[in-house]
Amino acid sequence: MVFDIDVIETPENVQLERDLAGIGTRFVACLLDLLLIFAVMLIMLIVLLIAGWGAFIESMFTEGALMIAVFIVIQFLLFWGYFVFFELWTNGQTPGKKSQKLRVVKDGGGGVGFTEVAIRNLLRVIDAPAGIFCMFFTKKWQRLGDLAAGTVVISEIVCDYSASHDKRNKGQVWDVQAPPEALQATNLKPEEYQVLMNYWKRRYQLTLAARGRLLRTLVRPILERNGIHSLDYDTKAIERQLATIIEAANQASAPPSPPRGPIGGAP
Amino acid sequence: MSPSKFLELRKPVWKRLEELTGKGRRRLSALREEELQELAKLYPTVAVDTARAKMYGMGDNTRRYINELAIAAHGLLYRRKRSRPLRAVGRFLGHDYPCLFRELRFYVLLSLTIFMTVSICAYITVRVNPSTAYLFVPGGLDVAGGPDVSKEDVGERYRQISGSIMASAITTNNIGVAFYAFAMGIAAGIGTCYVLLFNGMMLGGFFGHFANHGLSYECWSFLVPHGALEIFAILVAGGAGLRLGLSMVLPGRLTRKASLRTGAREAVLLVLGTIPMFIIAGAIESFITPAYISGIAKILIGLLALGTVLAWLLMVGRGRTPLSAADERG
Repeated sequence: MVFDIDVIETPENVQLERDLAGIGTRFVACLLDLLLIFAVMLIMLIVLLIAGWGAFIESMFTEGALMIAVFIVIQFLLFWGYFVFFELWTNGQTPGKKSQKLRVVKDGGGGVGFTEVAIRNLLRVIDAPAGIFCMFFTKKWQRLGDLAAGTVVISEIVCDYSASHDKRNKGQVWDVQAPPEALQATNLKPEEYQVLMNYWKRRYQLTLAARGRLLRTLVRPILERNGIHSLDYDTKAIERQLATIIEAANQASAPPSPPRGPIGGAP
Repeated sequence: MSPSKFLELRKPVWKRLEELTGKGRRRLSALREEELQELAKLYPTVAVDTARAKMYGMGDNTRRYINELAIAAHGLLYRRKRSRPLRAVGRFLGHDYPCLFRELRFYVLLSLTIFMTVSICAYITVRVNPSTAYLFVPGGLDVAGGPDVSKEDVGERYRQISGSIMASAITTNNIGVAFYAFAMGIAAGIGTCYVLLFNGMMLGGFFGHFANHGLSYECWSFLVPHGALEIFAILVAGGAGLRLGLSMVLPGRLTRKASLRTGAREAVLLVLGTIPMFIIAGAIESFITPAYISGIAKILIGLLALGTVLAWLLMVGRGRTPLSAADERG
């Protein structure tokens, strides 16, 4: 699942591409939303118990009853309306989706409108127990609700791997200092060390395809020049070799720090 | 033109568009008018750049960058007109929904047929064999008393519960049932049929049970006030579910996918329009059904409510060119 893309055909007859969201992030987003709904319900229940219960016990016709009625209505609105409201309000993003940088859009381009949002979220009650399996059989990871509404969920994480666009690690990436001890231990030239270190730090931000390409075209020649031969084009093997070198370099230079990318998590 | 020349030439344009989209991303109104016009002018050229970058074999980096830029601008320019929710609801109820209802009347009639067939069968079964009432009305007999019902039992339970709790609980529950009836239709309408069969058997059994005890009039005066509208609304929701399910089973000349999409658009609007019906029915059920007024008056109120809704659905919006509600809503 390296490049799952959705192609928009614009009125200018140009194809623009968007990344489709994977099942994992969508699951996390949904979980966060459900937790939020649950939390709100819990808070309301506590308020109801503290403030309303006494009144309710006394008589069913007092404010206690009114509070319960309001509680029932709000609970109904949360259950059926939470996703509809947020996806309409913020153009396809519930709070959970926002945290995962996901967005619901129309299949084929454009933002979602009321009808799409209503369809995909009313069908949620079918998707939750059964329809979700539909995702595995559709090209664009659509659940039943998405199919009926004609929507896809896209990921807005920009995986730009040029350092000049790398806002998070500005400066840090280019200014890798090459400590002499490390160079001595690994027998690398300073420039080579910088290149390898840069790759190592940023490898998790790259797509798998980009990693493979860099490993083959950039890392492998450097390793070969330093006498680490017998490398085939297996990118995993190249990266393992690189890992040992980085580790050696890190151990040689004080203070020792484990070789880790700036952003954790496997790609 | 060489790739490097292309880059050199276009870079300022990209930078400018990046500025503009960044500024307009939050709120489009953050852009001044001349900036908007500039955006509209720059976007098509950058959209073409995506294709040119591909042609020149530019690096993935640059292509991605241009692509992101074009998408951001595309999103800003080709956005839907923001509709005003209140006006949209007004138009929906005042024109689009009755038209849609008439367009889809076949499905509502189909759901009515299924429902009535089942309830009449259940009624006859209970009349012939009284003990079967418990099969058809699981727990439902609690509402009206046990096997030996009396006049006072009918609706007496209702009077013990606060009206506001009942109104909210009943209305939300009914709307939920309607939504389920719609959503379950996606399985070729089978789920919807289940909802219709279940409710039809319950209603038929209920009437049969009371008729066995000579309480038909009480039963009617208890059920009709709210039930007339409530059951009608459930049947409309059932029609929506059948529309959804049959769109996939019988796509006609469309592809199945396209048929499902149009079906879902019409069906969801059909079911959403039942919400006001359920609110009215819920209010009647909580405040008029338990009231101490004569049964005839209650029945009249119920029939009046249903008649008004039917008149609305059948008369409103006729004559004017029917706009497809789905198209208008996007």
